[in-house]
Amino acid sequence: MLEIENLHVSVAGKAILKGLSLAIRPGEVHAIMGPNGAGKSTLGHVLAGREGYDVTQGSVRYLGEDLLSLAPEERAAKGVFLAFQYPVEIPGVNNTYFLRTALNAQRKARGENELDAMQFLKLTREKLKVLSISDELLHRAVNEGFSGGEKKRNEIFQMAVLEPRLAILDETDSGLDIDALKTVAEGVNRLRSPERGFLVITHYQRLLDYIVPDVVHVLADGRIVESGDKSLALTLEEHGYAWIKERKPGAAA
Amino acid sequence: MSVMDAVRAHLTAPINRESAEQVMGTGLPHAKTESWRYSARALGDLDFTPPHFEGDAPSWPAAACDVLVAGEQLTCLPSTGVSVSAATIGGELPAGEAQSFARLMLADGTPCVRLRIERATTPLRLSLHSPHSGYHALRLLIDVAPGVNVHLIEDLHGGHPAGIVNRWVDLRIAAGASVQWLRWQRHAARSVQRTDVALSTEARLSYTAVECDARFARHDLNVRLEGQGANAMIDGLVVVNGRQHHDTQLALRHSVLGAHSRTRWRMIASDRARSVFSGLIHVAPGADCSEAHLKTANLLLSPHAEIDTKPELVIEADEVVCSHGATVGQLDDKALFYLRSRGVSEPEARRMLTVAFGGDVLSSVSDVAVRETMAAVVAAKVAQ
Repeated sequence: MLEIENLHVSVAGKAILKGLSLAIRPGEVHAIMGPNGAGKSTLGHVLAGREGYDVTQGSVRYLGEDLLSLAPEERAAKGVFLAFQYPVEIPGVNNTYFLRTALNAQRKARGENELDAMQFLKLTREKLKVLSISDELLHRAVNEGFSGGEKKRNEIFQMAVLEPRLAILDETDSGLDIDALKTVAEGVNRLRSPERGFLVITHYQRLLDYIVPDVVHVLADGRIVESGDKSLALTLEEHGYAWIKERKPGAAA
Repeated sequence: MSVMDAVRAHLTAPINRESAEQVMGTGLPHAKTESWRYSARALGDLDFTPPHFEGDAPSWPAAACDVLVAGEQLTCLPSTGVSVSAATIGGELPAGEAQSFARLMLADGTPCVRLRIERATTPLRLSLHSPHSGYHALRLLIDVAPGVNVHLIEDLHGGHPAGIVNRWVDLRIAAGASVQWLRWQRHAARSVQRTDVALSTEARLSYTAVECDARFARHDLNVRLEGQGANAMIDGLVVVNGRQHHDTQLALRHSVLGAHSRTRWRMIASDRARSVFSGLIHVAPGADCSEAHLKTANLLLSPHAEIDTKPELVIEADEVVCSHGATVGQLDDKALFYLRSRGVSEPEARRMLTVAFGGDVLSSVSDVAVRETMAAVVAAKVAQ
């Protein structure tokens, strides 16, 4: 469903991704691990359509379409979702209002009926219950004054409501205690299905104890230097990222 | 002749030539007049001929000002707790070209309507409208008796492209009284306005202004905290677009011990519009233990729009707690991207963020229906 071919991306003239290739099939969970500065978050932002990233080479196809030519909201309507590493606080915009506007905009773009307030309320109640999130979050402004854990839970809650086809989780585990980590993992695992793909970007192996990936990739210096099954994550955890450099001499050049 | 008749008669009479010339002679505000430096040019040419009424001379209230209680005209309601009379406010003519509009009013003998509010009423609605060309002068004195709580809704609307409104309102809040003033400026023409508020001991003012749609609107808002424990909360939201010009000059004077004030002023400018705000807090000698905070945050939505904002503190007392701050910025790229990444279109995301920016001020409007109407108006303006 997602084919990234030889992707080169630079930010303000500086090359960040240097020939990244990756393919995710429906139903698969791919994990991307890598040291700081490897380009993990850049990948997430480029896929979601953030401005300021120059794609200098390569292509990204999503469900047979050129993903990079679409606006962020078009990508969302087609099922791409990015759980932010740093969810943005938006004072004055109510969480429920925001999410309903977003869901209905997506549904409209797909030619589906918009949900009225009652239908939406019913949907959010169901999702909150499964994720054991307090409905108090709904009444507040988007992420405003949320703790780190609440922000991440809110991302997963949005994901549960929007039901994307391709979910990208950008270091959703960072800064979470073990309970919050489990909630987040539970949210992801509930959404796993044969037609849905996941790209889980993480710095540590810990999250992958709870979200078991089909494929693990190691991203270093802007490209994937190693791919394997879930045992790769454990090996990395044991040896650290220095091990990658030793195994792939010249990879960082 | 009742005061209302006097107002009507004066409105349709030609302006006192001598007084107009006197004002012209002393000079209208110009670009070198400090408090008018951003607005003198935008004021444009003035026409002091009386309003041109099509057909018959207007009957009250079509003239200029309704005072309504619970939707009914005040003159018909003797039992509302509000009395209406004529007032003469003495004193010297205000000097300097910055005050030429106030001086013109005094020199021209504009009748002053005095409303005395003796007991709590349902919201008092001041509806100021001027659908005709020419010069309209409105002079109002509102006295709120001790201990009375009153809701005042001022609605400035209508406006003729060739009209000019000169409005001057005095509000005196007696000891222990409390006024919630909601001002909605949606007058489309030109206006020069002045408001003087005096607060006595333990008096409270909660003032919320939503200002939009004026081709030219200048408002001098003078608030004097003259009694111990007086408290003023000033909120403003200005939304201008097209070539609209708005200017509020706020002067808050703390002249006694232990009074409090808090000001939040927000401006949103798009297209080629310009919005000006000057907020002066003056803590006079002896006004020790005063507390005053002023914050202005502003949003520029177009490279051709302009916002000029100046917070100013003058402190001549001891043991005061004062703060001021000003920001001017654009919509946050990160927030825009966040909304769009969830499927919200770019125009809708911009609209949501802009309305949210004004939300702080609108949230101080206690009436839900009014608040929602105002939010919708702001949203519609932003979407233009």
